[in-house]
Amino acid sequence: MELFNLILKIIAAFGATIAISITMQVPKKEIFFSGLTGAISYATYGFLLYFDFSTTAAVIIAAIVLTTVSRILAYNRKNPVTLFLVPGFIPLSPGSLIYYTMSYAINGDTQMAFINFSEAMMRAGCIALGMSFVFIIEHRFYKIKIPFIYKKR
Amino acid sequence: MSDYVKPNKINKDTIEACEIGGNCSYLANRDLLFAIDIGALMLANGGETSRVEDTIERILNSSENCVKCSALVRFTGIIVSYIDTEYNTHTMVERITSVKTNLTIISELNGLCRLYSKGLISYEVAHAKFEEIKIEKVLKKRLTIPLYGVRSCLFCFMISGSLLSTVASFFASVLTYAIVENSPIRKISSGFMIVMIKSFVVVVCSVFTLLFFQKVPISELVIAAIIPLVPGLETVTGVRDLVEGNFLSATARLLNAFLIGISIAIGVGIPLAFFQNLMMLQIG
Repeated sequence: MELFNLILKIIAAFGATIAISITMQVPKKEIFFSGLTGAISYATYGFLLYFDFSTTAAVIIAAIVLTTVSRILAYNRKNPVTLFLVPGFIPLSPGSLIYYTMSYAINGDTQMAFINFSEAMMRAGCIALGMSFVFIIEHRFYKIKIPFIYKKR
Repeated sequence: MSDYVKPNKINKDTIEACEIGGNCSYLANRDLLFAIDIGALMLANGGETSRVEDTIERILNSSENCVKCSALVRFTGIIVSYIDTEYNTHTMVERITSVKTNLTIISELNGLCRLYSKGLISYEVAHAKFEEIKIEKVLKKRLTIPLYGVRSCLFCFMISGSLLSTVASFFASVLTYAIVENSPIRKISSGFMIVMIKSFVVVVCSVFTLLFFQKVPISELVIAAIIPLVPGLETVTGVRDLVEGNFLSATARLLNAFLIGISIAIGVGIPLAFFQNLMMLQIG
C-alpha cells in the first residue's frame, strides 16, 4: 500500500513540475521533459526513503540524479540545463521545513524551531552539494545520445 | 575610451559610409550594443553568469571587427570591453535592476546566439529576432490562476496524500493567486517584498478556506502553496556559479536565495501568530 502511495506521489510530482514549468515559461516542447526531471528527482528521493536511507543521503543522491538527467537532457534537447534543472528541483525543496520553523517559533518552541531551521539549511546544502558534484564533471561526459528525444540543431 | 554612438540616430547611409570608409567604430559599437543587450536580457530572466559571459563573448568574437573582447558578468550588472581592428577600445556597462524567471527567453536567446556566432544569420535578421524575443509573452490570467491551484493541490497530495486536503489546497491557492494577480501587489518590484506579501496572502486565504474544510490541517494548505515560492532558480544558478569559480555572483545569488527564504518565513509567521491568538487556531 505504501509503495502504491509512493507511485501516486511520483505521478503527482510529475504533474506539479509540469504546472511549475508552465508558470516559469519553459518552452512548450520542453515542458514534458521538465516534468520528467521533477518525477525522477522525487522518485529517487521517495524510493531511497522507502529503502530506509537517511533524508540527507536521499536528498544528495536525488540531487545528483536530477542534475545528471538534466545535463543529459540539455545535450539531447539542445537547450540550457536550467530549463530542466530548476523545475525539477522544486519537489526536493525544503518548503515544509521553512513553515515548521515559523510555526514552532510562534508557539515558543525554540528548540524545535532551531532543529527545523537547521534541517532546512542542511537540505538546501545537500541539494547544492549534489548539484556541484555533477557540475564539476566536464560537459563531454554527458554527451549521451538518447534515441527519439535527440534533437538536431 | 569608448566613442559609443546611439544606433537609432544613425541611418542606413551612415552605415554604408562607415563600411565603405573602413571606419569600424560604428560596427564595433553596434556589435557591442547587440551583445550587451542580449546578455542583459538573459541575465534579467535568470541566466547563469557563465552562460551570459559565454554568449556575449561568442557574439563579439564572431564579429570581423573584433581583435579582443572580454565580458565580466555579475549578479547586478555586465561590463564588456572590446578592441576593434583600428585598436580603439570600446567599453560598456549595463546595470540589471530586477531579475525574474522566464526560461523561454533564455532558451531562445541561447539558440539565437549560436546561430549568429556561427554566421548562419545576418546581423539584421538576428536583431529582428532579438526584438521579437524581447516582447515578453505574458501568460493569460485565466490560464495561470487555475494552474497555480493545480500546482498546489498536487504538492498537497505529495505532502499529505489526503484527497480532502488536496481539494482544499486547490481552492486556497486559486483564491490566493486571484487576489495577487488582480491587485497592485503584482506591480511591486522588490523580490523580497513580493514573496513576503504572497506568503502573507497564502496564510490568510488558507485560514479562509478552513471555514469550509474544517478537518484539514492549515499546515498542509500553507506548505503546498509556499513550495513554489522557494527560490529554486537562485539556488541552482548560485551553485552553478560557485562551481565555475564566479564566487562574487555565487555569493550574491545564494544570499538572495537565503533572504527569499527568510521573507517566506516572515510572511508566513506574522499572519499565523495573528490568527493563532485571534481564533485559537491550532497550528503546526
